Amino acid sequence: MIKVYGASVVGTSHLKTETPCHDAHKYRILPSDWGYIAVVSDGMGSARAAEIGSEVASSFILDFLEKHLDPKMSDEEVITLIKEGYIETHDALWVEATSRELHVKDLNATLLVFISLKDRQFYGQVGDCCAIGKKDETYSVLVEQQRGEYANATFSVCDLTSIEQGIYAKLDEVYPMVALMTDGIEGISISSKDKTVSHLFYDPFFNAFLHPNFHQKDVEAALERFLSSERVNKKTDDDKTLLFIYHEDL
Amino acid sequence: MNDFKNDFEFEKEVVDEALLDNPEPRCPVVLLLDTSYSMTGNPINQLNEGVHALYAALRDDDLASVRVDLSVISFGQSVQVLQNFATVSESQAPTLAVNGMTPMGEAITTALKNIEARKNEYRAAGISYYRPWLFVITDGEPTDSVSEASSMLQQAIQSKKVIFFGIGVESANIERLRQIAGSRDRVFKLNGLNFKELFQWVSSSLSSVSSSRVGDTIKLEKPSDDVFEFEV
Repeated sequence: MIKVYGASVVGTSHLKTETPCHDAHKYRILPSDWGYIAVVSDGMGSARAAEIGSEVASSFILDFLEKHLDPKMSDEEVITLIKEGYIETHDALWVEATSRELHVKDLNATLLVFISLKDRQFYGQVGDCCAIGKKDETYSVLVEQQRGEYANATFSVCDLTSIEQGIYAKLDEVYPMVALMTDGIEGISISSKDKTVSHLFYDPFFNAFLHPNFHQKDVEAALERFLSSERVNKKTDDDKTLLFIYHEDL
Repeated sequence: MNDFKNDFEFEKEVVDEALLDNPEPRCPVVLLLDTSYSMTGNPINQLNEGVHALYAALRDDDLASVRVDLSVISFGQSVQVLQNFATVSESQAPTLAVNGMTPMGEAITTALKNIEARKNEYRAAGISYYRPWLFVITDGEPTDSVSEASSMLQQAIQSKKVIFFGIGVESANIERLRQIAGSRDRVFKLNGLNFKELFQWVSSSLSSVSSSRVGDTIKLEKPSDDVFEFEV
């Protein structure tokens, strides 16, 4: 059994300028629960149509991977497929931009993909989203931000150099509980100094999976309320996305 | 139904201590200010007013006040770090006094070394940072050797390690400054002694930079006439 819930909530900086939420999150449970694909994307503030970029990027790569993933694939084949997915997504964004008479940079977005296939987990990372895992009550950062030297360096799925420099890998271990997030949430829940994860932050969210009344829609509503709360907005003015996945059989 | 929904109250379950306060990203900025004897009188008074206005303006900006990491170095009798890197929320504008010659070469090497040392401190503390800014403001030309400084500066500019602004006032030798920087870009003469306006521009530019996010290219109005655009 695979349980999921997530939310993307607009940040106060975009509320002030009446700009839509630039974050997107999506997932797909694979047939017979043999795994899942989870995606988060953060449209860049400087991009004119960032919300379209994150939406198209996350939808496209999800469809692409679902179509081509096969549980019989070797590790190398899965990793190659993920990278191909990024390149295909880049091409799809070009087409989308052209159809809207925009430059592809107007759709600039980061993209993190996480794939769980029974006893193997993989990811693709272009940009500054982040993934953590929980196993035996211990938290680990699974996917770190792709960073340049400077805080405002650009790594976008709209840029082939960023994709070339992206990270596509298999995890050394398998994590039953995983959370994907955009950078606004990483900033308030993971120490930038030593990458320790705030277990006080994440425990309630992962414990929700074990609650007898777990119901995705209700938990998502609660997560949205939390992400919209004044307390969170005081800490970050960015858009906020969290996507939690629990694969019970791992 | 209400009871059911109350099963998940993350606002209560996530306690205050759970939300971390990671340090703000920093934008290191060095002002290298000529305090040689020729700056006596109105020039140094105007420069002092300008620096104080810069501190005041940065303090007025919520983000810039905690992200702009400002150091002030004077060069005259000697090269003196009047203010080590600090945000304006935790420092005061130093007061400049005139004395001596124009050891610009030593001042530039000191600034570039200090910037690299500061970046090492950021990395050790897990603080992300923007591309450093270096300003040289002078009314003359160097009286010491600039060969090492010039080579370091040109390398830093070319490898995008620093955004350099060379600003001359009154009888400054602008061509010499351009030679040292190896570039005409962002090396210009200020009209009169309008430091206040210059530093207002610096403040608003730094406010734009310190609120910039991934992928931003900032357009900054040049304090004189045209507009130029560059990566920050």
